[in-house]
Amino acid sequence: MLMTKIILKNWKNFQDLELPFRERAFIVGPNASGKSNLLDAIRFMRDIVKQAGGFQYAVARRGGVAKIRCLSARQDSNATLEIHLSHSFSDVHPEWQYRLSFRHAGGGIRRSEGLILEEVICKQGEIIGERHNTDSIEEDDWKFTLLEQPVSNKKFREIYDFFKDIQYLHVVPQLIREADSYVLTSGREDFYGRNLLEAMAKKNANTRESYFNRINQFLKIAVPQLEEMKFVSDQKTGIPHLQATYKHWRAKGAKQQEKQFSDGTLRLVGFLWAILDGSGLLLLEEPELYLHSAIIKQMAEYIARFQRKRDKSLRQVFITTHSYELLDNQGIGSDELIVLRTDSESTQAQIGSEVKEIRDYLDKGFSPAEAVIPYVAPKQVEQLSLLKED
Amino acid sequence: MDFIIVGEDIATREIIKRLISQYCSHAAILREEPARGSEIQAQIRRYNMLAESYPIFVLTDEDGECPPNKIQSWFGGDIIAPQMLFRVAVDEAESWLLADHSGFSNYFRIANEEIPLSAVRGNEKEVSFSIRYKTSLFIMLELVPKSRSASVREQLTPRNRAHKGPAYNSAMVPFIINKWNPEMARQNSSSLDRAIIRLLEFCS
Repeated sequence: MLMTKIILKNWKNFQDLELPFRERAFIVGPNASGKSNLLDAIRFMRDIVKQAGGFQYAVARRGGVAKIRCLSARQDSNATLEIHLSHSFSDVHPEWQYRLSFRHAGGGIRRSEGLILEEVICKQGEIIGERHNTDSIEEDDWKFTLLEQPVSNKKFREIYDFFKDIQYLHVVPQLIREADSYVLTSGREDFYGRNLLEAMAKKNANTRESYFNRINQFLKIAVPQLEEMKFVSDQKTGIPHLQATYKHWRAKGAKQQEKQFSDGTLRLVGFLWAILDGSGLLLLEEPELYLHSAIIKQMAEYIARFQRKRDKSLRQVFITTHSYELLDNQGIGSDELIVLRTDSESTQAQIGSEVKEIRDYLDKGFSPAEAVIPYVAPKQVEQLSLLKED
Repeated sequence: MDFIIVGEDIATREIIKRLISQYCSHAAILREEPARGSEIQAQIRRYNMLAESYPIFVLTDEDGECPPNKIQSWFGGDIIAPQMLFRVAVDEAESWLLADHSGFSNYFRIANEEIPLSAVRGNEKEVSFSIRYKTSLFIMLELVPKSRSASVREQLTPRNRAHKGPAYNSAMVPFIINKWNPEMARQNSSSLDRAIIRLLEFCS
C-alpha cells in the first residue's frame, strides 16, 4: 500500500496543504518551515493506531490540540488531516481515504482533550464509514476514532495496518550511547536513541544476521578500519549491544561497543537498519547528519535500490533534508521533491514538478540540489554578516 | 524583472546586488547562486540556457584569463543569451571595491596613499598591481596590516594558510551594502564602468 496524498488544514505550519506523494519524498525547506511537522502529521496517524496509543494519546503527546492547530488559524480552529492510500500511483480513485477533523475540548478543571468533529472513511471513492459531530457534543463517543477500535475498524483494517507499519528514524547518537537514555526513551516505539537496539533485539535472529551482513558490506567501505559490526546480548543482563571489531595493530583487532562508536557510525547503522527492516512507509529525519559527504551522495540511490522489497512491493521513503549532497543526484524525480517556503501566515508546500522555476532548472540539466536549494534558501542571509558583536 | 545572480562568494554576490539596487532599482533578486562554490564554470552553459527565460547576472574573477578567452573557453562557442549579463571583473571582484578609493580608505581606516590608484594596465584606467597577489590577498596582506582599526586587522588577516581573514564577509559585506560608492569606483575601473553601462542598457 502506498500513501499517495496528504491533505492538512490548520495543522501546525500548514494552513492549507495538499501534497501528492511518489516513491520517495525529499522534503526541503528553510529551518522551522515545517519539514518535521509534515512527517509528524503522518506519525500522528501512527500514534492513533499503535499499541497503547489512540487519538487522545496522539493529541496529548503533542501537547494538546492547541499545539497541533496552525498558529495562523483564526475562525476555523479545527485541525483536519486526510490521507489517501492506493495500490499504485495511477489509481483514479484512491483505494482508501481517511479524514479526521477535531478541535479542543475540555479545559478548566477538566483534562484538556481532543474532540472529534468528523471522521470519514472512503473505499474507492465510496463512503464506507462516516461520523459528523455537527453540534460539537463533548461525549466520550467523540474522543476515540473508529480507526483505533478493533470492533469498528474491521471494514478498513488495511488503513489501520498501513499506519501501524510506518517507521520513523531519527537516531540521536547521544541517546544510544548514554545508559541513562533508556529511561528517557523506553516506552516510545520510535527509533529514538536506545530503541534502535531494542528493535534489533526483537528481530528474529536469522533475519537480523542477514541484515547485519548487508550492513557490514556497507560499513566496511564507509568506515575505514572497521572490520565487523555484530549484535550481541550481554550474557548477564540481556541488554543488547552493538559490537565492532576494528583492524588495528593488535593481532585480534580491537573490540568496541556502541558507547565508543562515533556519532557517524551510529547514525549510519541506524540508517541502514531502517532501510533494510520493515516494509511499511519509512520516515527519515535528516539522514545526512554526522556523515561524510561522500557517503551522503550515495544515500538517495541506496534508498531507491532497497525500497523495492523481495515480494516486489514498493516501500515508500519520505526524507527531510538540508543536504546538497543528498539532493545532488540526477535520479531524483521532480515529483519526488517537496519544497517548503514560508510567508508571514504559514508554510506553502509544493511538489517540485509544479514549480516552474524548478522545472526550468531541471530541464536545463541542473541537478535537483542546484534547482531546489537556492529556491528554499532564506532571503537576505547576507544580513548575518551585518550582525554586531555586542 | 527578477534576476538570478551568480557569484563565486558572498562578497561577489553582494556586489551584484548592490549594483542592481542602484542601477536597476525596479528589479528584484529571484535567486542567489550557485548553491555551492566553484560551480560557475561547470554550470555556465546551463545558466546560459536558463537565460532564455530569466535575466541572469554572472560576475566572475579574471583568474589570469582575459575576458574574451574566458568567454570562449567557458561558453564553448555558444551564443550568449540576450538576458545573460556575464561580467568579468579585472583581476577579482574586490578590485571594484578598491576602486572606490576614498570610501575604501575611510571604511577600513587605511591611509589613502597606501591604496594604489589608476595604475596602468594597457591603456585602461584600472586599479592594478605589480605584485604577486590577487586583489583580495593584496587587501589582506598588504593593506590590512596598515589599518588603524584593530578589528579590521583581526577580521581580515588570514590565519595560517587560510585564503581569507576569519571574518572576511562580515568585514566586506557591510562596506558593500552601506558605504561602497560605485559611481566613484567606476571612474577608476573600466571593467566596472562597462558593467554598469551594460546593466543600465539591460534595465532600460
